[in-house]
Amino acid sequence: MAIPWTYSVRSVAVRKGASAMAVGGIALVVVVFVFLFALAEGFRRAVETSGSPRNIVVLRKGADAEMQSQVSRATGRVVEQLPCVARDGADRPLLVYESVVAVVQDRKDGGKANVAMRGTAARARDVHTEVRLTRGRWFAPGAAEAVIGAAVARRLGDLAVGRTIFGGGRDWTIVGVFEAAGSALESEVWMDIELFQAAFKRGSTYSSLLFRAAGDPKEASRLLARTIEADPRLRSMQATTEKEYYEKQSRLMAAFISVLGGLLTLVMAIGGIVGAMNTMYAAVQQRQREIGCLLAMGFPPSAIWGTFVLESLVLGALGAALGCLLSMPFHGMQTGTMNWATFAETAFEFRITPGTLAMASVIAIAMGFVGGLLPAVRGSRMKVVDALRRA
Amino acid sequence: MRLILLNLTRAPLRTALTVLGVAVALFLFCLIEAVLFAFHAGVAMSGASRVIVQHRESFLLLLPESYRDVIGQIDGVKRVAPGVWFGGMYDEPVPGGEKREEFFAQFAVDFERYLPMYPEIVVPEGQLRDLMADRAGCLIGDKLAARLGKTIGDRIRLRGTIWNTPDSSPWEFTVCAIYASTSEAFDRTMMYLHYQHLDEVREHGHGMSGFYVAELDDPDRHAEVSAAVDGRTASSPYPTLTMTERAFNLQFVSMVGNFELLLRTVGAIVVLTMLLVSANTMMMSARDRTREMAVLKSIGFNDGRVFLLLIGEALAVAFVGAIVGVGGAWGAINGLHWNPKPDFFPTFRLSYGSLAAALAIAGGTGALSGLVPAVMGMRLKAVEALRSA
Repeated sequence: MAIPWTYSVRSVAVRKGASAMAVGGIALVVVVFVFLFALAEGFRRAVETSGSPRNIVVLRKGADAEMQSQVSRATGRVVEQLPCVARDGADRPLLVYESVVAVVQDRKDGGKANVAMRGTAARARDVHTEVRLTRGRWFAPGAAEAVIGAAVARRLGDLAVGRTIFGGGRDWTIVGVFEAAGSALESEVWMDIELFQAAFKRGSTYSSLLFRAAGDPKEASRLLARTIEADPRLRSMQATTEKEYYEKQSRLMAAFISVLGGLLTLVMAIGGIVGAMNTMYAAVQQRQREIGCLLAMGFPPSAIWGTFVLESLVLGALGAALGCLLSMPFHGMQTGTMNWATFAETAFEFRITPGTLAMASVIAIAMGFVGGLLPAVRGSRMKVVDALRRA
Repeated sequence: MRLILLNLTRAPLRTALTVLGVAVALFLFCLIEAVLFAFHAGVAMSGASRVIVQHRESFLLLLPESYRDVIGQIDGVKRVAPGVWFGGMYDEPVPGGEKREEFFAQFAVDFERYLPMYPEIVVPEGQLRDLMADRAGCLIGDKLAARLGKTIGDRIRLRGTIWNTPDSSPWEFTVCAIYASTSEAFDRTMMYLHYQHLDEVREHGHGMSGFYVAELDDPDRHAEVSAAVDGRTASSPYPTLTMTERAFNLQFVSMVGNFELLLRTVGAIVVLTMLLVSANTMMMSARDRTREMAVLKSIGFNDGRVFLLLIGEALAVAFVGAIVGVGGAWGAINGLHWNPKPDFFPTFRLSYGSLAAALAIAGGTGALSGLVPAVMGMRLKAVEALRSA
């Protein structure tokens, strides 16, 4: 015979203060958990969506990021001719030589930020297909002009079409603003590759080659890997799909957040459990007489145990709901941090996913369960006589 | 006094839980402080008499080797040494077992000029001689040696992410020397190698240095000397930016952005709320005993004694909580050198400032949570309390 579940739910409502404290404590754990994982998810998404699975990026062997890599024009000429490179209608390879450098710029809020500057071909948009111009026009080949990502425009302030940005010892006139589906590319400034090479004194050494794969990109990258092994001119190169390249970059940050987030959540969960336990012990003590009555009416101790555990679970569930609700405003919040893989500032939005919320809720309810377990045992072990007498 | 103790042991479970709550909150506070300290570790280890010369536009751009003489000639500069960020990834299995890539800071430096500027780096005489004799040798921090399980004579293999060997094979260095430090704040997880060796082997960038460290005759003249260095190079193809070592390291902190603020806010909210919960429990326990207070008063305890009794109880709970929480954090972090992520936090420890702050929070919570019930207890009219009960 079980005690009606409404008894548990109503009991929560009866002791408003203590319940609120326990619910608040659990909700807080949920908020912090969601916050940290939304941060990690937002960063991961911004970095990973930068790469298209259909593109292949060629870097020097050993380099984890474009900024560390050197690829010569001679290498590019070899790659251009490979059959795995897609071609456009005029039979030109869909391949761009790119160079990336991080240059210090002032941030709107007063700090400094390393902004990635990318030299690329005017036709880069044929390969970076997700890039869309939202204002102004694209830079003209051979002109000291730049287009800036939407995130750069937002975070650095003072940068708009018509202004200039300094880099490589010269000023570049900003002629357009572009978006790239919220990816890390929006944190970059793009200019003409030939002028870029001259300004940064890079000669004919580029950072990377990026090309659209002909046919299946996985197949193309395997094919390319074999070609690299066989061709001595390419031996010091490596090729991955652009998507894999960016996924690797976000891993460092993801590892950092999961350690930090995991640790914080663990310690806070202990605190939350302690809070729930305190509340539940107080509940058992205050309702000694009720327990006595229930026992006297013939409910078995297991039913008493069940009702208190249920009550505690309700506390956990309320905490989960409150926490999820409170953390909702974080979603879409804009921030930025340095990408340690590239040393360049990357802007991103907090992203709360259903998975994160579900995980947080499970943790909250588990906290309620653990917190209620021992007090419920005490409640169920009471003797009818004692419970009724001492009250 | 005895009464406080007796009251605390009356509901041992509740007291234990409250103490635990306070302890957890304080432990968390210490943890966040240690993480923040790690963020600023680079700044804390900066020397006042050293300036760093980097490329004006980015620390990632290189400077020509000839700048060593250019900077050395500037009035007020005592010594100057080139340095290059090596940025390799450790490629061997760690002692723990599975093979994964480890990261730690590596610099290629001109030891002869570099080490005299860093008295913080302490190297045994004999090891130093070996290091100078072996071009492919390296100097590592004692904490790094412990982490990687390396001793003198072992080899360290690194995958070059920035600098490549001609055949793209991994770099190999022999551990010739292990340094300790005179300064508690100095990073002991770094690796230094010969700049000359790097320059000979690397495939590109010959004759280019990443940055220069210069020691000044007079630390107070750093602004003047910095301006002189930057003035000399302003119109060259490689303009420089010279700043104190502290400012140089601070730029990395600044680049991490509002991350620090976020962490601090999260920490503050968490700690505050947890302490509120604990305070609430203390008040609850005091309210339960209204009747006892009245009895005490009727047998002759005056208002002041009752006040002290209640506030003493709250302080005792906070005190024990502080010992467990702060002591636990101190023991784990500073005592056992526990570090959740050594490649991210080269120095992970609690500063005395944080420790004092944690204890102050504990004291504050104790006083605050004791105050309300204590004042209530003090104002209690014995007659009314006994009657209503």
